[in-house]
Amino acid sequence: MKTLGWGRRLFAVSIILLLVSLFITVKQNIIRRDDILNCSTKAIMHFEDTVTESVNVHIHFNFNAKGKGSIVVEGYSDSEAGWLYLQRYVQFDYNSKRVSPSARYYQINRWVSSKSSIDQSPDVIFDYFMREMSDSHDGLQLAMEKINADTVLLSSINSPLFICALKPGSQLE
Amino acid sequence: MKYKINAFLIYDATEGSLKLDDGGKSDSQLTITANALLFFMIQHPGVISRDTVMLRVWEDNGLMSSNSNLNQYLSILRKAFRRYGIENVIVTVARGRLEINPELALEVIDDSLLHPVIHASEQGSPAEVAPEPELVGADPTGNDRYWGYAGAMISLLAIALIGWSWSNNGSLTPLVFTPVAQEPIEVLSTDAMINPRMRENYLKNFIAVKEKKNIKYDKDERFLFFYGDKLQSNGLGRTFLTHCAKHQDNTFSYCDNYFYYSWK
Repeated sequence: MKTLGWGRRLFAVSIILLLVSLFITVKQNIIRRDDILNCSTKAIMHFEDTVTESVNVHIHFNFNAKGKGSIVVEGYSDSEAGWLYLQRYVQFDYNSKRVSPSARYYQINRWVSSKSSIDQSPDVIFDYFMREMSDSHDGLQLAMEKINADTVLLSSINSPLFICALKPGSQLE
Repeated sequence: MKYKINAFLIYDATEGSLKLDDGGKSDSQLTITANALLFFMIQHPGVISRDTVMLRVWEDNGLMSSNSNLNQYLSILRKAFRRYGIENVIVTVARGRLEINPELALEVIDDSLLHPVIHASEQGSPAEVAPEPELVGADPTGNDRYWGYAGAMISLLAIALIGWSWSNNGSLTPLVFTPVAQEPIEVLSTDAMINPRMRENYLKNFIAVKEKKNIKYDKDERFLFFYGDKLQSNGLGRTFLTHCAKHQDNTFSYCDNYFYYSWK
């Protein structure tokens, strides 16, 4: 009776194993993308001139399905121009990936911001705010770490930035 | 290639078969290695050393040779020929050398086909490459070893992939905070946030930031503090302090996040 040798049998088993592992990987990383993140926080941030350049804002992060997201920033900016209302809306495309058992990175590749008609704050202050989330290139990057079921910590590549309270609709692992 | 042995036994080297002209009743099928050994001995009449046989029949075809292997296949061939009344198809001569029995009458009756194993190693012509040998029983082939190596590599890759998927599976592990101070103020940090170089000044800097912002605190409130190392961040020293109040079971329910681009 003709039979396969051990090498061919091992090869056949390894192909099956590889197919199973690919299926598991695709299922977990593409089909089940539990990365929808909606949260809000309050921040008082001081920039280059820590006395005269600051914002005191509420921030709403929305990393929605299909790689689309938005940030709403509302509050006041302080600068040489004075204490002025700030209300900006940022739209972006993002992708996310799990980088460790405790962290997921949200990489924002393209973003555009718009200001409301009652926003008189200087653009440079808002740019400071956005650039604090820079990935050191053209994009933005936030690392998300879970604190508990209702709260996450968002950090830039340089520093923790916000403890953010999750809102309904978030689908974290 | 076909031979007629002793004018009655047909040896087909391509098929590895021994036949009588009796309608297939007495046909025998040799294993690939036994066939290769017989064909080699027929092709090389005269005394030949065991080492040469092992080299040409086993090693040159990617197989592991051994004296016991050779003895086993010599025994198989002798037994196969004994069935047709031919004793000692391959004889052992002095000093353990071998020879196709010189008393055999060998007649080539068809030289059109090439032997699948021997010619591949002897001539190496693309047109004469042997077909993929099929294994008979536990008979090993050299190619099988390479299939095994490839299988092992793919298995390792698959296991690594499963491990990676597994590590990325399930819930995010919650952050573990380290209490830096507990009375009267509860100050937390994580191992990643506390730079060993800054550890000594950690509380002092925390108090400086808290007082600069004139932050008051109450029961069930806590702080999380990060102070960047200026030596490692171009002198910027980013500073983060968050002041959180408890609500129901969530001790981080309401947080004010304070950030300094450069703490001076």
